[in-house]
Amino acid sequence: MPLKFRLITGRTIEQGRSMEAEGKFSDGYRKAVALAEMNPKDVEILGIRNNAKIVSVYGSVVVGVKPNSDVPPGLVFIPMGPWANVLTLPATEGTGMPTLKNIDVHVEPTSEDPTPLSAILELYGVEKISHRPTERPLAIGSRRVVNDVPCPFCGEVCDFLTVELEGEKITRILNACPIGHAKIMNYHKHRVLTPMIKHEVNGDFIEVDLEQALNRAAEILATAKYPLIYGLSNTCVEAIELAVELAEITRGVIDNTTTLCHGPTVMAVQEVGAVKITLGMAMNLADTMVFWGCNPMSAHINHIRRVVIPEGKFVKGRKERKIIVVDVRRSETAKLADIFIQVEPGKDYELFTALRMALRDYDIEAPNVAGVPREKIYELVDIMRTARFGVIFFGMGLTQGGAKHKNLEEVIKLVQELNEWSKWTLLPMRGHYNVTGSNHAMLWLTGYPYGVEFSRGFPKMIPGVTTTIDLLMNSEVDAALIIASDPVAHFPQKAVENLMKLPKIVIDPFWSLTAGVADVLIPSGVTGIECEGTVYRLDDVALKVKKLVDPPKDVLCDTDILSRLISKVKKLKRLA
Amino acid sequence: MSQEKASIYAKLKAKPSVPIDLRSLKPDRVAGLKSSDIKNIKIMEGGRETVVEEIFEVESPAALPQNPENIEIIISGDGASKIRYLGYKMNGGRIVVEGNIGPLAGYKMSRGSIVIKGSAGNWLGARMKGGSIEVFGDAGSFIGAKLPGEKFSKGMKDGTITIHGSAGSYIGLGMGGGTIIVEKSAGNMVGGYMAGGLIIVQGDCGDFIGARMSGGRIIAVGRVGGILPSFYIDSVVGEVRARGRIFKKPFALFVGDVLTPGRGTIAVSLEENKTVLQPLLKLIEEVKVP
Amino acid sequence: MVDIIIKNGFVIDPLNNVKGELMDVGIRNEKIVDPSEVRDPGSIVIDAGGRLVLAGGIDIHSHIAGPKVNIGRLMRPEDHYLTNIPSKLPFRRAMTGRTVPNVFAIGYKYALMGYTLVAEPACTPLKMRHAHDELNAIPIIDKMVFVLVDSNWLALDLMSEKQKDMLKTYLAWLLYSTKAYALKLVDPGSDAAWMMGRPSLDLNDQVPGYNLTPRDIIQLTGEANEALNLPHSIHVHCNRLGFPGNYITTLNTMKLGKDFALRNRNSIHITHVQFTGYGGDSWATLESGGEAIANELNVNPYVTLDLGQVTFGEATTMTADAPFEFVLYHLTRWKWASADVENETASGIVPYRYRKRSYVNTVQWAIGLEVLLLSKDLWRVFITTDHPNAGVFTDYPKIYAWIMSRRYREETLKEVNQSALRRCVLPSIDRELTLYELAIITRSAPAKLLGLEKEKGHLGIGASADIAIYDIDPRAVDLSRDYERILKTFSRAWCVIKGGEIVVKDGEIVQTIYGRTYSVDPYTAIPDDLRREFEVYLKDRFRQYYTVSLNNFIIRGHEIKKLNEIRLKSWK
Repeated sequence: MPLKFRLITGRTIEQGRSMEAEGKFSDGYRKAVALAEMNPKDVEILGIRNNAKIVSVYGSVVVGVKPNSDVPPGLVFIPMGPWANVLTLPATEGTGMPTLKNIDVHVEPTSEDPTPLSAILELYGVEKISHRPTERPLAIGSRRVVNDVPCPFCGEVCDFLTVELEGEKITRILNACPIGHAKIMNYHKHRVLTPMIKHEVNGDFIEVDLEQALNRAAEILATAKYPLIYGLSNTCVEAIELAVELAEITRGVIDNTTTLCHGPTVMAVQEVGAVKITLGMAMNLADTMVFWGCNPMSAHINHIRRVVIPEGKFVKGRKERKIIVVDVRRSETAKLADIFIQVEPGKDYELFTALRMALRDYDIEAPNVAGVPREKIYELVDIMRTARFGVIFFGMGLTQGGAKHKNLEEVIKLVQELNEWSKWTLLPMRGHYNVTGSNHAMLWLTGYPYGVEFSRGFPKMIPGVTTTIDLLMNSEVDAALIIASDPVAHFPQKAVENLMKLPKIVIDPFWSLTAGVADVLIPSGVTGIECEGTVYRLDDVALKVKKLVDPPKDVLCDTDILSRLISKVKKLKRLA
Repeated sequence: MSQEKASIYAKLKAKPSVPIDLRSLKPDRVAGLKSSDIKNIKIMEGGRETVVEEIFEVESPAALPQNPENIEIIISGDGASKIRYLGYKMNGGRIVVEGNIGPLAGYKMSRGSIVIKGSAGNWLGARMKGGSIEVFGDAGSFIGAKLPGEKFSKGMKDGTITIHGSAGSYIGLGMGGGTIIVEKSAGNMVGGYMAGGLIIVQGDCGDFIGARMSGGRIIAVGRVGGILPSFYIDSVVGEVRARGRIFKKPFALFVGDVLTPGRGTIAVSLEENKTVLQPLLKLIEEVKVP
Repeated sequence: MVDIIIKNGFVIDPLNNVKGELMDVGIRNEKIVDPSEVRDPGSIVIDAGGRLVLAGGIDIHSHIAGPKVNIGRLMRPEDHYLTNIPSKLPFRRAMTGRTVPNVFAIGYKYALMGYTLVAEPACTPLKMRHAHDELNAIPIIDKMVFVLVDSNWLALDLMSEKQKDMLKTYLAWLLYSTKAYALKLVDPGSDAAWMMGRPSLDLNDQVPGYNLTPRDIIQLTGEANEALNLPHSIHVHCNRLGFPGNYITTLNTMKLGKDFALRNRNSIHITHVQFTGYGGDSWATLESGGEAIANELNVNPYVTLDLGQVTFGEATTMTADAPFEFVLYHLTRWKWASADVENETASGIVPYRYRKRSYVNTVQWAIGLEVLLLSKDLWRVFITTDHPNAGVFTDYPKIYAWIMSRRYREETLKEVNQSALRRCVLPSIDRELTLYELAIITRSAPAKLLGLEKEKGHLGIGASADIAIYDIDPRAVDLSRDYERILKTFSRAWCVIKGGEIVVKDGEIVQTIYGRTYSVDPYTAIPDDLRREFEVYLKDRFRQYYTVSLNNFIIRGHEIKKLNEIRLKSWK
């Protein structure tokens, strides 16, 4: 009989690598994400052989099971992706952030095979999905070596990669992590190379020329009464600025992936401020580092080797640093910690409360808070206040569940209060390589970091009202332009269902799930490999990603596509 | 000058595909107008400016009373849940919605009453200064709250919000006064950052109740997810009374949040919360049981 | 571009000795030409009808772009809720914000006031690309940015090793590789202390980890600045900012100018002197040090300064003075943001409100006005609010009215804290500035201070066609009595021309164009052998200290929308 569990979703190395190398339609990807990690004891008690059926209030899915003693009993971990999103909760509680962690589910053994992607897509209301990825032709040419190449994958934007090419073929990459390596090495695969428009009757894709595709896209945007522009974290600032202009012209909404990533962090900064650093401060000075609700070993793979291992000016490498990990399970990062603190899922807010009380030497009445014994809390506070320079790195463990943005307010306030004692700082582990840039660009253009609407001709952001998941759940937008993002793979089920009901324009280099359901599909160059532009690292440092090769024939960069779209929409709206 | 009550019926002509910003259709705005003027009031359909008459079928008397108190507006039709900013800064009169309503209803309202027969969206009664809102169905999150970034006492200041169904999370965030009553359950952080006022939840509450309160009062009649360590148990009482409602059963009273520092109180029902309260009950000398 | 001729303008142009004359002004190809040259029948004729015509205003210190400003926007969403102006496409984009406006509000509102050049006074090298991204996005005005150097580990290393030539080369390289215009020092050395968890520094304290004092930092940087022949002097935010009694430090800092006045001209600019002009020894005994500062300015020709004038109301303090902001956070107990940047500097942002009834805020308000009204040489005093620290730039007309009208001063004197006034000399000052003097302070002198007096700040032939026409005939009004006219007139210009294009007409923005970013290149002129030696040193230090590669750190010219890079020829 099914037992009750708590579900956590998140990144894994294999999920990232297979996504970039093989694409989301592949077997490799399915094997990586249609998977539940559970404690061996739970697997035994339930009598699971290979697969399990997992059910939440929103739906059920069959996935493979991998026993993992690092997952505490009572918890299930499924990598982020379409399988996990059958179960995640789209309710944002007014914060814009759906609940992607700490979800109540029931688990039972099953002899059924893991749910195929096609069945999942059916659940999402996808009537027809096209999959016609092409490999981009690579002209072989002379050998050259490009140094100091910034990597266009995660918020670390490691800019010390060396890429060797023979013409347009990439032959070797040095210093990248496995996921960055996979992305750059495979940049020519699973591409969209020709613009397409979906046939109105039979739903097939018809190849068209760019002009036709742009005209159709402009028509959709110009006639929509409240269009949504979404994505942006995988493209450059120059493109994002144009996207904001387009939102202003169409008087619609513009949002980026912050909305389901570090949106709560950004909301917390709105309430209390922040105490941040750049990575070099951690490398040179930090003798105490806390990783709270984040797992860089799976998601920001070079982070440890950039910030913890090196000998900085004042702290000589790993041996002079104390690493503390706070998480609901013994993650990969937890394994290299000096101290691991296991917190009860969803209860981080209580732990922060107790820490801030202990910092003021107040009595904590309960013997345990959030699953952590009182003594351990007092001990942790003493370590923190006697550190010389501390940093708290934090991630989705704090944003995607529990008190959401209020968790982040606590992390910030804890750090602010620790500054009475010693030097403490924090850094959010931002996911996409330019999500920070999309916040900055939107801030300087509109005053708000994401979730901005222009219905009355000026920018307004109201969490839970102008944020994408809420807009989709309430069916409030009448068209969508998705740039450099794959919401079909990463949004909760019900949000995808509602997205399917809209006319969709998709601009993407790769054949993602969202590309497969577009009404107008426009190919673009890969930012960081075929198109250059400005991106902002997770610590707000702006870098220029490089153009290593020309984009494929007749494929434009996002900036050019958006410029042309803006001209056309302006003409249709008689604003030219 | 008419002293009789006038009713305006506005029915959605079709289910909207985008939000309808209806802030200008309220009693104090239509007071003294002719029926044709009402039909021409500007409203927003998504990003498109339009007029009431295009989106609604309007039935109203030829001329309206000067006094908004004598005006009632009744909204109906499929898709009313897309209507935003209903009753924005309302200053008298009555609005009734025969169905659901969207976000930001009663935002900054100061007088009058809003009645929602169905459910309400997020930010209901945010920054309310007075008047009353009644919701027969459920309501969303951030009820009676302050806006992001504002100082903590800028939430609801006065007035009453009654939800007959359940409510979302962060209700009463930063409220300074007034009353919120939820007859079924509420989500996380009920009364967070409260500076004054009263919140009653007759069903269950989620976690983090009363986080960082500085004043005000919360009554949790059902189960709570837990009590934050920053609340100290004060006493146990046999019953709790508030706003004409009496809850005749034992409640544990907590004072906090010490981190603010605050002197708000949370009354937590004893029966439903034995597990959560057990370790703390030992801390008080007298346990008053009726 | 169509030629323009302005007819019957009442011109005041101090740089060309025009004290108020009815004249015509001709414009062709972005420049001012002799009016007789504008003959084409298709030219635009603007009949100014006796209205006041000035060169576009120049603001030498206003926080308009960069990481501090953007975090300010993020943490003040409440600043955007009620300050919105819808777009009017295709002429202008939507505006929002007051203390931390969006880029469109900044460009348009400065233009509406008749300003055409604004300097962002502080950005750290590693984040200069961000500052340029924002400057690129600000419409209409010309701009520039100053680069922070005082707590820079590479610079401090060179200073303590007494390597003056290498230091000069490094500073030149910094300016060139970040496309900056001038060298900025903020509470010199204090951020280096803050990053190590130590308290802020006074002039003679030791910088932790270095055998240097802030005095050394100022002297060595000043010397390098003069030797590099940079158009602007070093721009200094004094130590001890925000602490009662700090005016002594300011006086001592002002006196340092003489030590490195290698070009026998002004060698040190003291910024927002109000914040460092406090007498007394506690908040309770706070008094104005304004008179002492004005006195020092009057006998010390090597110093220039700007006010940082308090204008009352809501503000958002933002500065590289991280230790001061930490203190202010404790006083306000609300929001605080801070960002330490590896090897370079730190910063802090704290919202604040200046109240007329407050004792401290009244003293602060008086200090700025005292310094200006008691200064003899108006070519060395500048109006700023250190926007948005002491006030918002859209409040500049209030400052004009306070300095030009005794009456307006008296109105405000009645409203402020009366016991504070007893510690200030402002109530006893009668002086009223004339329009001519206002033109010096807001146009001519700033152009000179920045070394741009050939093309900016005046209306002579060859100048940039940056012109502001105000709806006032100075011959027909007594501004000292009718101060409402000052407030109204300078809040919204009648017509503004930028680079030969009409951008404001009848007080409205009519088109969105983009101005130029000014920067200096003192690096290319440095002898090859010294550059080579320096580059070896730089590569090594970068690899050790930084988490970005040297190549990716450098900002290249094509990254800037419309770069006007001034290559400096001589080097000593």
